[in-house]
Amino acid sequence: MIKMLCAYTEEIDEIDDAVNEILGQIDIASLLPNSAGIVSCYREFLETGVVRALADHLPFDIIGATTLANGTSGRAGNMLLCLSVLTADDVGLSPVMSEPLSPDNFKNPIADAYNRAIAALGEPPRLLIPFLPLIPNVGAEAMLKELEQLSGGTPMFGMIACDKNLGLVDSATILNGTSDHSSLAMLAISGNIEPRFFVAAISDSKVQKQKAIITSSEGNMLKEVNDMPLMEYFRTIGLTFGDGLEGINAIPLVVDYNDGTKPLVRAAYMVTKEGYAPCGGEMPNGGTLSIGFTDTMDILRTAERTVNDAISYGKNCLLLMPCLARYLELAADPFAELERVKKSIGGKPYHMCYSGGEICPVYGESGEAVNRFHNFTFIACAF
Amino acid sequence: MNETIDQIATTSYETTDTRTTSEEDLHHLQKENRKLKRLVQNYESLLQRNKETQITKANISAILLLERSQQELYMNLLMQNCPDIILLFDKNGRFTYCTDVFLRRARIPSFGLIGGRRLREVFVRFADSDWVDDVSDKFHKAFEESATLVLNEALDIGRDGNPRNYTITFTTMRDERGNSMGAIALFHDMTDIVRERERAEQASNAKSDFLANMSHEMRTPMNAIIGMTNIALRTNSAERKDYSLGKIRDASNHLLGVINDILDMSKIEANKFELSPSEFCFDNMLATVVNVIEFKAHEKCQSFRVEVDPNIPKRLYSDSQRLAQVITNLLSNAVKFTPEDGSVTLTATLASKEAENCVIEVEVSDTGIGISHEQQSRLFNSFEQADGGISRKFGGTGLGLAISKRIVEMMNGRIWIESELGAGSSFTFTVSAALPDEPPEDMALHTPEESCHDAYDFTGRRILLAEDIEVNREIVLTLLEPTGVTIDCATNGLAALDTFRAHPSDYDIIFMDIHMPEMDGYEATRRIRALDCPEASVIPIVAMTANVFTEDIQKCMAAGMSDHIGKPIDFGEVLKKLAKHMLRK
Repeated sequence: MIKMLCAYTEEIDEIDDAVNEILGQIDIASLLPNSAGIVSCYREFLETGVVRALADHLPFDIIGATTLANGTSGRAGNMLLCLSVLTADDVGLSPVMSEPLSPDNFKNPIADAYNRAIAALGEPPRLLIPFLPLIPNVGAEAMLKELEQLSGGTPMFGMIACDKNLGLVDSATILNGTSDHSSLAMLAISGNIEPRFFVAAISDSKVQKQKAIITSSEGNMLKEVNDMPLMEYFRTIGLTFGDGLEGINAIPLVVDYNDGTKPLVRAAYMVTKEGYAPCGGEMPNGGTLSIGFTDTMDILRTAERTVNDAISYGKNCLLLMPCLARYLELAADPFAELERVKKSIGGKPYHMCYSGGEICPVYGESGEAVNRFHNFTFIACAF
Repeated sequence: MNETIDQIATTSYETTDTRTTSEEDLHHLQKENRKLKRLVQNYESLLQRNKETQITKANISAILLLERSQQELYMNLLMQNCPDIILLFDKNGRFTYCTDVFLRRARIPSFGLIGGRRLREVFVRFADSDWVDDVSDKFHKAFEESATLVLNEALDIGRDGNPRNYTITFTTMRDERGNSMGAIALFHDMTDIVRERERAEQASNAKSDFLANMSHEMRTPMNAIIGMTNIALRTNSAERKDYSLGKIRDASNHLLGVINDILDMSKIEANKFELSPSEFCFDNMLATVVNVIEFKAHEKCQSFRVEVDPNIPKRLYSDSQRLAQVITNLLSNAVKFTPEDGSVTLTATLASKEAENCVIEVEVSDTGIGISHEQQSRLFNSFEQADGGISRKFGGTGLGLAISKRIVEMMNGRIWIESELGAGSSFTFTVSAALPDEPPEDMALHTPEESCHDAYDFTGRRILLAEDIEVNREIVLTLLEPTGVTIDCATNGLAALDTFRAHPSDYDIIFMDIHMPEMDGYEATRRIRALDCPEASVIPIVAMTANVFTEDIQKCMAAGMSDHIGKPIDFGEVLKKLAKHMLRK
């Protein structure tokens, strides 16, 4: 069996106080033979050395990433360190971190990290929890494809590391005392585990009824819609952006692969000089595109519904990774979603942290889990 | 945010108050400084996020606004252009929207005149109040029960005396939460479909009636043939036998006429009806027709007059047989539908003439029972007579005029009627005929109708008859016996081939049946033509067959035959063919 023990601290500066606060919340004696800690934290926890100190004092590896805001065990905020310890007797846990990735070299480091994780497990994984860096010109989907190929389609649930800056410039992935802006960190899990995945982005009523067809794209690069250049299409639906094309990354693009899976939400990160938009994930040629609208009510409603669905699955461990765009949409009440989740979950252990991009499978027509990358989405994994 | 400001104030106050210089104080200051910095950065991030959120909200508002206006545009386009009548009602049964076609049909200048009004107030404009009450009640009940109601009604919405058939579907409109928001009534115009169905039913009924009529028309002469045959067999009286045979002949000819009408109609329906134009003498053709009709008119003590314009060219190029068929049909009808002591007149005039063709106008008028205007409109339809009772009283297939019309139209003409019930009728038609070149002298001398006195003596001539049916052979042998011709018989194509091959110069003509065992007529003809003897390529081979369609005749010609006689055999036709082919030789 596997269980989750949760702890948090707000103490960024006093390392000893922080470590003691964490140790005081975890019953080390109750740990089962295999343990690993999932950590999400405000960036400064790395700079002040709190994370390194924790890694030194805890009897298990910790793996995770920086985040914009997070919550666990009834506490939520944007300057927290949250730690959720997965401990099990019949589940293998293998955390790894890759060498730094670059646009020219990401496949080999990913393969190397994966192989090390599997070698340590000694058996094929049932679940991968990747924490991805944001690599310029390399979309998350490209990295996911590598992992997909290596693992033969093992379900993946994870995130792109983020921080308080929208450009994610200070984000980092973490493995014990090491953190890196460009490395992949991943927890491979094998054994007696049956994860179930839950995805909710925008309610159907908040998606534009007008549909368009992606007529030209290359991977995650969106070029033409309805046989029109992308910017021209946006103009036809009333979208205009400022000189710096500000705000384009805040428009949820709802993409339907038309293959029986649920539509996904993507963000356009920017606009290139050719008028193309690199998006958060693959924009399939022939896919259906429409614009989604988020608002506070819909964010809270979808979060609550997803959490309730995950809880009803009846498992011990709950990981929640909503998109940072949802946090931004909440504006002056940024913790509303965290609070709503805290209220819905009650006393069950959980780990919630905002992500710069979500990795979570969706279910096909015959029930098979298909790995997908999302934006603007609330993802949950119960196991 | 208030907590943040308080913290900043408190921190600043404490820092100002202590002002210590120990390492511990420095560490404390640095720590507080970091906290302050974090708070400020937090505040800056919040402001930045708010700014971007506003931009996003503005973009989203723009999209929503455009989407709403497009939805409104398309809704308006739907209302303006939808060919069906759609009426939208609110929860209280009042008009909220309708398609423009309803306003146009009902002659309502604008929706403003009916918007907000109840169904009853609007529908009484074009329907009686009982119907309106009934439909309103039904709509109301369907709305209450959230049921879908379908009605078929004839409504004269335009009040122009032309009611149209509608299928009306009434159903409740619900929003995504299932709340009833009103109702929609869709009026789908089924008039064209209903009319087509009625036409199809009428046509089907007419065909059923026709079949019943044809059955009667065919069984009646068959009954006479069978009955009279039995009488002839039983009686020893020669006079009675002659009488019976005469009746059998009349009944057979009548039956043949019925069969020919049915076959002609089948060809017309199948678009296979064709003309076979040839050069002929108009006067001779007319004389042949008149001879037959004169006899019938005489039997009814009717006066029968024929007036022929002397300007009509003597020789024409057209299908004389079909032209005769039309004139015969009109004259037969005139005699049939004119009582005793009445009169029938045939007038043929030259309507126009040009270098290469002319238009002949033929009028047949009578002092008969006449035809009402309503009946006239159906007269030229196939399967219909003016009155269904006509066939019972006067007999006839009812196809003659439809066939005549087709023939006339194929000759680039038209046919029309002028008649009053009880005051006689006048049927007139025009046809276009080509003018042949001056006939060659030999053709002028030897056309069958001009050399008829020589045609029937074929003494010294020899015919090879290939026919597998014994009774058919007997008919030919018996009928041709008076002409002095010698006839050798072959019971199949192979025997005919062998006989001819053995004595090619003995024969003047071959009559070849088509459907025979061992070798059919086509193959026998091909093999005869391929024989290595001079007679093989020139001997006339005349097909004798019941296959009378154009393609059948073409098949005969393609096999190498020279001519064609249809079965049942017309003795006169046989003599003409013999004269044509044997006298030339």
